[in-house]
Amino acid sequence: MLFSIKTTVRTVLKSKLAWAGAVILIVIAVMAIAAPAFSPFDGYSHDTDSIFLKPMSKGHWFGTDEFGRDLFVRVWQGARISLAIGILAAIIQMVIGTLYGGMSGLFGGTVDEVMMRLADALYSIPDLILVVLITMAMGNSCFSVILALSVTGWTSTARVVRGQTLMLKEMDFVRAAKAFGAGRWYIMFKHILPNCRGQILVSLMLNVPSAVFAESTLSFLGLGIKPPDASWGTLVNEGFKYSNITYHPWVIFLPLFFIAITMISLNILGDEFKKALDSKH
Amino acid sequence: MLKRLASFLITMWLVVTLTFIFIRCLPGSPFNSDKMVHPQILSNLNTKYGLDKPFHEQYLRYMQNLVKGDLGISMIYKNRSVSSIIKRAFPVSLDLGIRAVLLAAFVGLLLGLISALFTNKAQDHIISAITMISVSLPGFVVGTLLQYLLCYRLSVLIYNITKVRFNIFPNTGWEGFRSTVVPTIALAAGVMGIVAKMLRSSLKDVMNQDYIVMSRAKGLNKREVVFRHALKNALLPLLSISGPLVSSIIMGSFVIENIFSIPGLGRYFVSSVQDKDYTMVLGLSVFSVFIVVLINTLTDILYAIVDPRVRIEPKDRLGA
Amino acid sequence: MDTILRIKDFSLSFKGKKILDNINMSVSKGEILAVVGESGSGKSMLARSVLGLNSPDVFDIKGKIFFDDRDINSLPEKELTKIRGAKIGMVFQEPLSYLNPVIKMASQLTEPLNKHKKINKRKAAQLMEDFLRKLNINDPLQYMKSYPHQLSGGMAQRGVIAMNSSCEPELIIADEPTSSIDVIVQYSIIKLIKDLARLQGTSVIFITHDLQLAAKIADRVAVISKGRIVEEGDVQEVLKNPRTNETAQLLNACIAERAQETGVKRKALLEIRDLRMHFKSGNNINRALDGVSLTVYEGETLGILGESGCGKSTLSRIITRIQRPTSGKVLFEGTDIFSIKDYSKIVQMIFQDSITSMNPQMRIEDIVAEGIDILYGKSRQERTKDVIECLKRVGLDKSIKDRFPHQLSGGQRQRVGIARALITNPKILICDEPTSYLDTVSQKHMLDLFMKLKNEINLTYIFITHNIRILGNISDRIAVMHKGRIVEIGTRDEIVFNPVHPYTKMLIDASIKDEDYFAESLFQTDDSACNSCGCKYHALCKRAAEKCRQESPALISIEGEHFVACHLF
Repeated sequence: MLFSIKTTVRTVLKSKLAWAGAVILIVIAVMAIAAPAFSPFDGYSHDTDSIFLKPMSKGHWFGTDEFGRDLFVRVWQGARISLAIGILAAIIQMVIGTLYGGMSGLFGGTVDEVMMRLADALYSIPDLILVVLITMAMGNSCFSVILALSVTGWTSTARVVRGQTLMLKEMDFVRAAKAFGAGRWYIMFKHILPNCRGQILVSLMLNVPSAVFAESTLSFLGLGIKPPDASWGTLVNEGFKYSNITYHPWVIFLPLFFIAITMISLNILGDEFKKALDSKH
Repeated sequence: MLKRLASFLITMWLVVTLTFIFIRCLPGSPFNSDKMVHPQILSNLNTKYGLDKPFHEQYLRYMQNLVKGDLGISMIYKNRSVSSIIKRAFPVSLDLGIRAVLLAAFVGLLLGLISALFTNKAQDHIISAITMISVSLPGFVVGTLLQYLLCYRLSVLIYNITKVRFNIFPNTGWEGFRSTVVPTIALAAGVMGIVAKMLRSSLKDVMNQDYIVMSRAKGLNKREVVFRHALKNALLPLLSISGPLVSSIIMGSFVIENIFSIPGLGRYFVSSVQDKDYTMVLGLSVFSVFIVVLINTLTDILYAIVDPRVRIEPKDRLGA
Repeated sequence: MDTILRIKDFSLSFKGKKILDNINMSVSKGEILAVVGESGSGKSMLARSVLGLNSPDVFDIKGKIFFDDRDINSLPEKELTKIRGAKIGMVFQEPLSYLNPVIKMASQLTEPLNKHKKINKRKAAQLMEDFLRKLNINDPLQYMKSYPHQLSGGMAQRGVIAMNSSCEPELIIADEPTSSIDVIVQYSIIKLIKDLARLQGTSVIFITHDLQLAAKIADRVAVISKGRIVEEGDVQEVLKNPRTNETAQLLNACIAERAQETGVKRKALLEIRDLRMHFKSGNNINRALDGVSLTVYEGETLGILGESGCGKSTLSRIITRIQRPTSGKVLFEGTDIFSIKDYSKIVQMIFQDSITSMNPQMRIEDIVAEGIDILYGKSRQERTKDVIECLKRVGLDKSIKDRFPHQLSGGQRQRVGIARALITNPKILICDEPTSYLDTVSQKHMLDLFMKLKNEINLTYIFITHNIRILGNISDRIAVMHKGRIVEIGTRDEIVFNPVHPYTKMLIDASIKDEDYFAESLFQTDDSACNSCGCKYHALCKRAAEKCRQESPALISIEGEHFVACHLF
């Protein structure tokens, strides 16, 4: 039951898979931040002389799209948006989920029942539909997408935290605090949540890929981030709309490739953390 | 049983109300969009939807319609009602969904079983890699890839070998068996991975249980232990997540239908969002959620029936 | 006499750690051998090794185990499956976790017959039903149709024993078969094993931690400690003349008579009046506390004797205000405790499991100081000073305060628990099984510490445990609890040397030779009979009168302070 970040990270680092995943993610993150600055192109200006150039031609490392926009820059700008949305949404989900689950578990009884039924009801509504409705109502900005994703994704964290809380509630150290007259909030923040750190961290690590998953699917359908801003999903969508996969596959496959390896790396890392956490019990 | 029915109704009510509020909260009247609508039609529509009446009356009228089964009429295509779209599109989505569920279940369970029986050996590692990939990739990634490889590249390969132009797997449409193959595989991929992973971990847990030691102590061999004792217990957790799994297949089908231009609910949903056809969006959403929540409730009930610990309460104990 | 099992120089290691060390043991045909040892001594691993359940891939195995002159460890799995269940049977500790929860009893119990004797399922079920009926299970048909969770522990265990005997094995290994069962049912299960064994000529290896229990069933006993057999011989001999320390520790230590201080006027500190705690789960009402009344006097050590499930933990939680009772009152010096402001400073508690009673993320200093943090607002230095002083009082060095719980030994942790409870200078200390997870040496130190503190600070103790030996050594009065009620209460001498209530008697183990105190119907009734009518034990007690069936007895005085809940006095 003892959770220390140090030992968990050490266990994770022993795994070669985790290393691979972490390295890939770090490279992508660095490129997302720095790469656009190193290119002479800006990813927005149209250049009708240079449409649909193959990768590595005329200084365009990733080629160009239907408007002659440099794909290298666009992909890394897309990375910024995809990752930022994913991470922010995951963090918000973590906060909401932890507080909700913790309160539900701690209060127990009817409060718990009602809260969990509400969460279950929300959980059973398909994410995609809910997100689409929210973005329809609030527009397609990054902000509304993050909001929409946060509203739908917190339930799994809440469930995990609630489970831990229910178990921790029966621990004698909670009873000892109660014997001293401790109130609910003291117990929640001093005893329960600190002992949920492991689960919360793993939850966070697995929320990021699911947020990226949802956002990219949304944008792919044309319902998320809209051009000229583009997340990776939007780039794939544009690729489908304006290019022919048989003649210029790179327009579609480049962003697709990055989505794929990012998702796989995030999941591998999250999985390794989960295994490290479980192995201690 | 009653509790489940109640939560089903509550969820539906919640969804319906929320979507209704959303639509009403949309910036400006839906009719102020780019389309110029004839004033007469405008006033007809207003009357039909009661947009000129107070909020709660609109809500009431909407609920009444819903109960009657009237989900509304498209705002863009005057002659289309939501129900007619559903009648046309739902069977297609259902067909795709069922095929995908069957494929995912069959392959997933098989892989999961092999993986658990050969833990940490070569078979396990290979299967774990496959499942990790299939679980991570979003539906459209898999769909696009499969479309490219199996619909396009494969035909090119066939042409290069046989010099016959044969489009073995059509990349769009839903006519005939061959056009269902690739979409089904694409849709099943993600779920299959989840099923395999889950069965593997569930079976591993079960094999560490005390009653497995007891069954070995009785003199049963490994095959008997796994198939007679372990599997039943291992499949139970899978049943409990089958609700969310099916709903993820339904959502996944939205994406697949768009890639392969399959005339199912998903395609109509996406196009109505793009067209800003709000009533259609609303109607299709409500219907989709209804299906998902219905399936979730049914699998819940199924689980309660199948697991004897839930079905028979200890109060029916033989204590004396 | 034929030897059916011979264990020769057998050693078992796991990752370099020795679990069993050079075991030499043999079992003859028809004899009952008890293997007695504390938890962790390796007895369960020995049992599993005899069945070949410990795989050589995982464990390091040396030596041989000969069954019917064949070495178990050299046999292929195929041969082993023919022996298990057919020639050697095994009964495990908790039947409800060793039975498959999703398969009906009929299916599970008939498996050995079906597999080994090739009897078809229907006939096997018929045979099992007949067998169960002979074991006084009233409705074998219903039993077979049930799932394990529908049966009580005792009922399920009987089925398991029947299943094991069904193939008429040469040897049955029973690994703590009654340890998680109520003491009243325990004896019926033990008797069952013994009778069946004698009937079929089966040898039995009976594994337990309770030497007294072993004496009731076994012919010979082998004492195992830390993976080694330290003593072996005829069971009565070993009981009378234990040759090693380990054996002696397993026996009840002698409890000498003590002169009681009588006639001293003592102040009543805590008064508990008709306390009830009911939990609703589905359609059941779990009566954890069913009308408990008690008075605790200043300066005394009141022992509460009871097994798990008797309500003692619930009682301690209500007294410390962790929980609210369904009905009834607790008064401290005349006032309802739930309306006293600083009650938490006056009554404190020490918990059983020192690991779960401390937040693993907190340092010792913060753990001990928690009382101050919640109830007072002291400065950092004052707080540290108080903590160091408390640690000193329990015999711990101040350097401990910066460590984490997992870095301490069990004994040290328990002392920290005491320090934490003492930091507010309480008057009453409730100790809920504080020694059950400690080894015998640490236990003694702990009890000495309790005595020392009592003398230094004049603490009043409420000491809860199932261990009569401990209560015999430290308590002034003892109250015996069973299923939410107090069945008997009196001074220490009265309870230990002159117990009256049948349940107390069984626990004290003094006159269990008086088996005829219980009717033959002992086999039928498992857990409490009718909850709402009459004395709970009326179906078990031979001397039960009509009144016992109808009226639940209140505590009535026998002599002086000795009360018992029984109509016959």
